[in-house]
Amino acid sequence: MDTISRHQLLAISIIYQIGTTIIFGFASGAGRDSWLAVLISTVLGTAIIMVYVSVTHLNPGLTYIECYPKQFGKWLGTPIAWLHPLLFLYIAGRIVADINNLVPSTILPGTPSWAILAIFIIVIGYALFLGLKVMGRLAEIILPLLGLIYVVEVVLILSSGVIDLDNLFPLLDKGWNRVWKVVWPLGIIQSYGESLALAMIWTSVKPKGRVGRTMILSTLLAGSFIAYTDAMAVSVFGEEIFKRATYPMYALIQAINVADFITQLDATGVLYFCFMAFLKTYIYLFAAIRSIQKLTYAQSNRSFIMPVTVIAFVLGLTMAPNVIVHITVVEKIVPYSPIYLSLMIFIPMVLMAVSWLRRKQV
Amino acid sequence: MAPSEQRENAASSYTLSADLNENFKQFQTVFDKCGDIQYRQFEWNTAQRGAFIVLNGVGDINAVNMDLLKQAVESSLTGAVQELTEEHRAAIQSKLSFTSQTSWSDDFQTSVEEVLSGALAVLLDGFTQVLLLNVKGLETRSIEEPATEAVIRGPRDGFQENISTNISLIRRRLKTTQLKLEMFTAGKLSGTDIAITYLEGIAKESLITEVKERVGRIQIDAILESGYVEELIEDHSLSPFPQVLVTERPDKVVGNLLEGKVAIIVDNTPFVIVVPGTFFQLLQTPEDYYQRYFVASAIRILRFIAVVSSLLLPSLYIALTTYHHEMIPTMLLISIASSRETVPFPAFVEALLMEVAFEGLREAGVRLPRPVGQGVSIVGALVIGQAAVAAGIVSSPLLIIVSMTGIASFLFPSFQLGLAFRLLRFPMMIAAATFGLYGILMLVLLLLLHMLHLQSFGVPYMAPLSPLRAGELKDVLFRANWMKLKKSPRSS
Repeated sequence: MDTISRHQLLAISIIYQIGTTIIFGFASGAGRDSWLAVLISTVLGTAIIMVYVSVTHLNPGLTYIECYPKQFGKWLGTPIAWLHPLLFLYIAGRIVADINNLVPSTILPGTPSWAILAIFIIVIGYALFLGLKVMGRLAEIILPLLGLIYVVEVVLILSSGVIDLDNLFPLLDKGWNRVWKVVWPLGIIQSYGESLALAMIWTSVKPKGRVGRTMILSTLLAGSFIAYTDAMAVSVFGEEIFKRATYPMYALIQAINVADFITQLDATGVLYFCFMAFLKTYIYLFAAIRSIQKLTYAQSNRSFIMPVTVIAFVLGLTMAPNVIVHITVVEKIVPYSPIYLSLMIFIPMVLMAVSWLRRKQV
Repeated sequence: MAPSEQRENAASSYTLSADLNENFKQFQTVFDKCGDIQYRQFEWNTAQRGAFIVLNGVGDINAVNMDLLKQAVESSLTGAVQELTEEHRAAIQSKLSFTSQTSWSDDFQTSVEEVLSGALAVLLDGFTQVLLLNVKGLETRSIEEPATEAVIRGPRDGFQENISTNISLIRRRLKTTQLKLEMFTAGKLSGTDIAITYLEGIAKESLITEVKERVGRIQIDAILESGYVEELIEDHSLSPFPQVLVTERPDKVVGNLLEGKVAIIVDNTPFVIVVPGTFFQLLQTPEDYYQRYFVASAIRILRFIAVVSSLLLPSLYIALTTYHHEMIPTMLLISIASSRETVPFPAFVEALLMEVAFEGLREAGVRLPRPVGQGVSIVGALVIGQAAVAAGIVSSPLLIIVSMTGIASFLFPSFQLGLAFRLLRFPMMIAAATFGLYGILMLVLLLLLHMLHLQSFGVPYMAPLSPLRAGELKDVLFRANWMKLKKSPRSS
């Protein structure tokens, strides 16, 4: 069976939740209070994830998707369930578009973007064919490595002498307003609401149980990581530059300069990002494929791998004409769309309530 | 029908008769045109005769005193014996059993096979059975230091071609009845002996069954080296990575048996296979356990660096000089640029040229007869040397990269694993030339996924790093003190 251990789930979740924030930054709209916004989002995000966990807990043995037809009945539940694979595919396409925008513009200016995306998608397709088990092992190996690189990066930034702690103060000088603005809904949806896709792999965790605890641990670790990195970026750049930068974290890596010898490490930053995007796209596509498989009652998911990866490739290639449109859509439009909010927050809550009530009746 | 097939059929259908002449003739037909067969006839009383049949060089005729043999027969069968009984057989056997292993066979086909593997067959008038004395005595070379796995500190004995000598080398390190040996024969024509050995109670039962099952399944004409067996029993034949451990060192085999592995010894080769093979096990040498653990740990870390650099150094050079100049510190960039100024090729072609030349030199060094070997090193020093730079064909930084890669690939304790990485270096260079660092990352991911997917006899290739068994990492990433390693880890 295609199973993963709890430790592998933890590794996947941490990488997944940190994800692309490693380049795009998180909650940069809150300026120097961004780290606070991250922490608040983390706490609320944990609550949302607990909703997902308790839904799967109340419907043992079923993947998240299958809970809808079971609890809401065939006529209402099935259409809602079918929205999920579409949503997963859309977000996967968004991440592929991230690659499409970032890689050619930073490290490979002369290379056609379709070629860059093609090998990205081929590697993901290969990983999908090998199954979740192999991905779990990959995450398990890469996570300590990423942690090590991050520590090196922090040490390098500290030794570059660019940190100015005064940039972090005064705290909350513009009030709570702008903090709340980034927390709801973007802060909660980004990383935490998106963990909905992870709900599709929870049934593969062996030995069973304690998924909730693992998820809380990973959320808190990822949250504090993002908060720390945000605080570091603010203290390096100051509020204004941090708010305006397209890729604040990318800029952070560019700021490294040790004795004029270790400089210009941007390419490593992009590689970081590519790996994060790789894992995230993988999880989304995996979730999409498994949802389709469960909803069509197919025996095997093999036949869905090819079409789904091709769709993600085409979506990523055509989704955004340029970076500005892409980022604006991701930050200003998508989080406020009713589909996002309802699928990630409201409907799961209803589902949890229904599951709970029906279980109580029995 | 070919004559040989005819003979074979005759042999399988023939049943031994009581008439010596008939039996003898049958042996002669089967061993027709086999110049190394020896027959001797003798009389043990006036009316009745006997015959010896043995293969020269395979069976050692001097191992049995012929007179003694004749006497044994004569004294057991006094007078004119009309019918040979069970008693007679027992009498002969008991008189001979102190000289060598004896048995009686009433099957002609078995007797022929036994003679082929070094038995002396004794035919006696009136017997429908053949007395077989095991006088196996193959010419072997002496036990020498393994040529491919040298150590500074550690035992100097290595396996050789004779399977029983090899088994004895293992046995004398494990004086326990837990050490089990099961013999198989494979190869329709070669009839090669294969021994499967393991420590009962330490090796997993399921692993032993699986190995026996796979070895038993082997269908092939001949097995000349354990490489045949390796390829026939491995899990993923579509992989560049070796999935079994191959070694010439008895201490390495014993060390692995103690960890619950199963060893497969094949006759006629000094290379013993150990399964399951995992990646990190292929990166260890027995000497890691003999030297002080601080030093051994440092050497292991050095080896990991070598693994990475043998795979990535040339491609990183290509990627950085072609796509990401900005990452190279300015002063270094200037010196690289100035030395590349006279070179007409792009970095990729330059690197490819040098790597191919280097691989060619290595291969030539292996194949060449010793006296000519020196020539290679002289030419090599010129090709991969200052002359190449002076000629303006390559730049000196690249020369250093190629040499460093070469050194790194010499650090692999397992030659097979080193080969895999040498091979993979070339696709890696192509990826670097087309997609820069991004291409390298993608190919590394692909490779990692592949390696994580591999299994050897049910054991994940990258274990214990992934799937993680934290307790065993102390013997993987570094080498802990023996105080902490006392309990032998189990393979699972």
